[in-house]
Amino acid sequence: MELIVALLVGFFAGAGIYRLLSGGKMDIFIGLILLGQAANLTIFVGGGLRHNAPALLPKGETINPTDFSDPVPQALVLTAIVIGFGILAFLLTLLLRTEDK
Amino acid sequence: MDSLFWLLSLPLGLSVLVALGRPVVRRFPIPVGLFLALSFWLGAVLLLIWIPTGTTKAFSAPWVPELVNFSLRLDAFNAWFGVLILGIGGCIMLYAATYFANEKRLPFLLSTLLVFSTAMLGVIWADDLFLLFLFWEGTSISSFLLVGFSHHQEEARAKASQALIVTLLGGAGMLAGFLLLSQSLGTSSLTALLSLTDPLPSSPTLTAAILLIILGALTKSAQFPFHFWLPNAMAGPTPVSAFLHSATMVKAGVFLLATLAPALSQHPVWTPILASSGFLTVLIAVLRAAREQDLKQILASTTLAALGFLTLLAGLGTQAALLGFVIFLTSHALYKAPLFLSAGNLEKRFGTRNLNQLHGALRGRPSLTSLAVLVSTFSLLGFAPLPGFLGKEYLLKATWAYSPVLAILVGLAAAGTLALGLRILIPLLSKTDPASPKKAVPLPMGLSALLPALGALALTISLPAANHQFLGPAAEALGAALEASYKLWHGWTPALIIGLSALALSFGIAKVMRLRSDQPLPSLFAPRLDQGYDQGIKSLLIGSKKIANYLTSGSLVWHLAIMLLGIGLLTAFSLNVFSIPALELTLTEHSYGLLVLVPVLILSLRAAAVARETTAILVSLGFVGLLVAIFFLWFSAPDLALTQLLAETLLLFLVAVVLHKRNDPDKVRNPVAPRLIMAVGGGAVVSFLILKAMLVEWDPPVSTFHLTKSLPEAYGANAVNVILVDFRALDTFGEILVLGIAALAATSALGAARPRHRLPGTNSTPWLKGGGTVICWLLIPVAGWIFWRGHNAPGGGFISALVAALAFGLALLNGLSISHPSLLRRLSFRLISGGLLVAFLSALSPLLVSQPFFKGLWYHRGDLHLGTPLIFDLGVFLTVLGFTLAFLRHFHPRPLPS
Repeated sequence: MELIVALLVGFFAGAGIYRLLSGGKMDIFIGLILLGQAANLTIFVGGGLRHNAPALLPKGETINPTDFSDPVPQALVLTAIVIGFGILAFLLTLLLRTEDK
Repeated sequence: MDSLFWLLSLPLGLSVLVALGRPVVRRFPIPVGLFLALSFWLGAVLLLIWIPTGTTKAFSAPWVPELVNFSLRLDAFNAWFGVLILGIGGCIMLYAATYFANEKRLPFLLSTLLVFSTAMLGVIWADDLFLLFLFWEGTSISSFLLVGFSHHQEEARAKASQALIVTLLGGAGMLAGFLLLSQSLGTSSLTALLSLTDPLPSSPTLTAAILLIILGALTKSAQFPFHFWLPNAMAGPTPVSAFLHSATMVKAGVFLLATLAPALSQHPVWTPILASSGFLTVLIAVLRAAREQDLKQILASTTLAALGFLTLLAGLGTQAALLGFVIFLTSHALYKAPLFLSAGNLEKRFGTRNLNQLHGALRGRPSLTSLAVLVSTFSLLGFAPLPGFLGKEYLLKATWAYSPVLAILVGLAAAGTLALGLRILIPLLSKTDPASPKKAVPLPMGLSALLPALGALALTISLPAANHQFLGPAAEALGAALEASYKLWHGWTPALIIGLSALALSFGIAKVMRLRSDQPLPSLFAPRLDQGYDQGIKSLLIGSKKIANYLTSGSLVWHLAIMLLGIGLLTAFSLNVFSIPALELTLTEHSYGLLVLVPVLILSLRAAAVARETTAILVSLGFVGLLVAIFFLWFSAPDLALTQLLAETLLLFLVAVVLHKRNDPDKVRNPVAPRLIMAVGGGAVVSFLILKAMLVEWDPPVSTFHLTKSLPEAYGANAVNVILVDFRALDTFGEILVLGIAALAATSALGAARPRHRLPGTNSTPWLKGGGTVICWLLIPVAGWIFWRGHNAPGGGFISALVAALAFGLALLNGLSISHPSLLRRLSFRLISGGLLVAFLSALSPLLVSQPFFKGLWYHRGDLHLGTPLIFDLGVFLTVLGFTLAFLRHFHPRPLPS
């Protein structure tokens, strides 16, 4: 399973790079969207994958850390998504400015 | 103890006061200058009272554990140096305030001088090597600002940056040296280094460390071959030159050398390098000044020469040499500062600094300036019983004790510097062609020029007492013999003989200089190093430009391709791409979700990679975003899924507007084959990276701490949210700061007066208009609910802010009044600044109850827990919302009312 996911994220990055090098300004932007998501996925996947084990701790019981997925990469990726959105929005405003000229 | 810290931060506090009270400083410059001078003198007096007590003081506060401690030390020597700095600094403050009384930027000058004073005091009082480095660089930067004060003149800028670059290069080398030294020593504490009983074992590391530290000191004190920046730094205003380049900053280098000399001078490279560098500097300084007519330049050369002698003494490192070091340092500071200040006074009085036009300037009515010049020049010439005589005597004594040949050479060099002193004095006293005064010199300027000279006289008069109380303990603390002291008369020692003959010789040299004063110097002595520096900088700039042109060649895509290639190759090689990890293809029951997800994702990605038309782009990007969210959800990250969905929606909203505006898609298309190769290569590198990362196992992983402590100690069941707002809140604070900066940058890029971008006509359908408004108003309480539940269930500040932003976006589409651009603009900035302030205050609040910064304070009521992390989350919410609004406001559906 890990192999499939790794290849998938690699394909993601490849699609982003392909678009990035296509030549137009909007292409660069779309390529960056895809690359950004690929990067987030890289961090997330690199931390290990578990299904159906969110980091929501039940009250009252003793907690066995191996029962849950790793919350640290998730926290890192969450801020990465928001900041990525911020940077892309900023890039978009710059693109708009060059368009207006 | 603490008083040392307060004394160090006194100038810094005054600097903040000056910066805050700019109008007051501009209206009452001289009283402000007097106030600053009195504060400095108070500090100097406090130190003076303390020195005879014979104790040492230390102050230590932990800063970065096991790396740097904020530790200060005070012994008799650096307290005495502190007295000199504060005493002369006070005179400078008064002088500068009067000199620039009508200058608009006087507050800037004064606060930078004050910051510089703190940095200089920090250099001499620091006990930790890295703390010393920090203050060292602080002096470099503040001196850059001071020398380049007239920054509208290109010459001032160039000379200031030359000084900065040379001293920064030296400082970087010195840092490396400190690192190596602290490795050999095992600690970075200076006290530990100085209290070693056996010298450090010689090793290549130690040699390298010493060479690098010497590099730093030589650049700072303008010794050969880095001497060329000091005369150029005279481009700064006179008070700056008087403070920095005579009494304080350039002395930092020789101070460091003298402090380290007891510990390091036995090392074979120490004495040869320093002695030769110092000696050569003296010769070069004398030769440079031989043809100079500008008074300030001659004084700069005498400073260079004095620093050369001090370097020589620090290089010798013997007890006699360190004894001479203290008195030479003191006497030089006490005569050089008044000379510089008097040069400024003469310039004000006669309108010129050129010696040819200043004949007989000291004749006529005796003034404060003329008294200062006379006393200081006689001290420079080494007339007994002034301190300059003592300095010369002990210099020659120390060198004679080391080697008689060296003493004779030093005597010859000293004759040259004395000749420079005569070169200044004789024209100022001559009767031919007298200069006529133009303006009067204000009293404070004359007074502040005279005071250090009066200090020199006071030292002379009270020599026995001063010896016992101040100078002797200072020399002893540096490393000279126990119970050291200074005597005026030792009998007919070789030192005295050499000194007297040097004085006699100097008259001859001065005569030769005057006779030959209109002939140019032989080309052997041309300032080649200065030109070499200029040439070096120029070729560096030309070379970089050539490389940049070659690499970028105008096309952005080419630039991107090279960057990607570089990153990819670097990653591939550092991953050791040639060892393929063992691959297993195990399918568990969880994989069946993937079997659906993966093909759809691949198809959408392919569509996104090649789509041309607007609709295709939007749909494929939207699909990709949705599938990534489902991916997150499948692999147990509900918070991430929510964030991804919301961020993707907002981004596509903005993209849709832009795409709609564009009428013609780009025609240019790069060839497919290279793109495909780069894409496949990049994808392969990323896959490898992931596979390798998955193989790394930390034992135990960091998350064990977070998972086990999240509920009991941070009262949150949602571990991800707890990490964001509690355990790693400092990272999150930095991140929302980045968002604030991006919003500011976007606003300045787009500007406020640009026409709004029209959205396509969307408010026509009644469904959208009616339903949209309802959803818009519903989203706000939903955002509040998501915010509230975030600590124990998926949600939190980021997600709720994005939901609220979506509400605003919908309002924009429907043309609701809340989405008016000016309203959004004001709202967005208030939200961003308010959010950052709330977050920062929630981090500071534990300090009020003596808890560490960012610790969570909680209030419990049964099952309800309220705490500062929730307030921090509120700050995050406000900032992210404001940030999104700052972008949304540029899109408006209808033209603005006129």
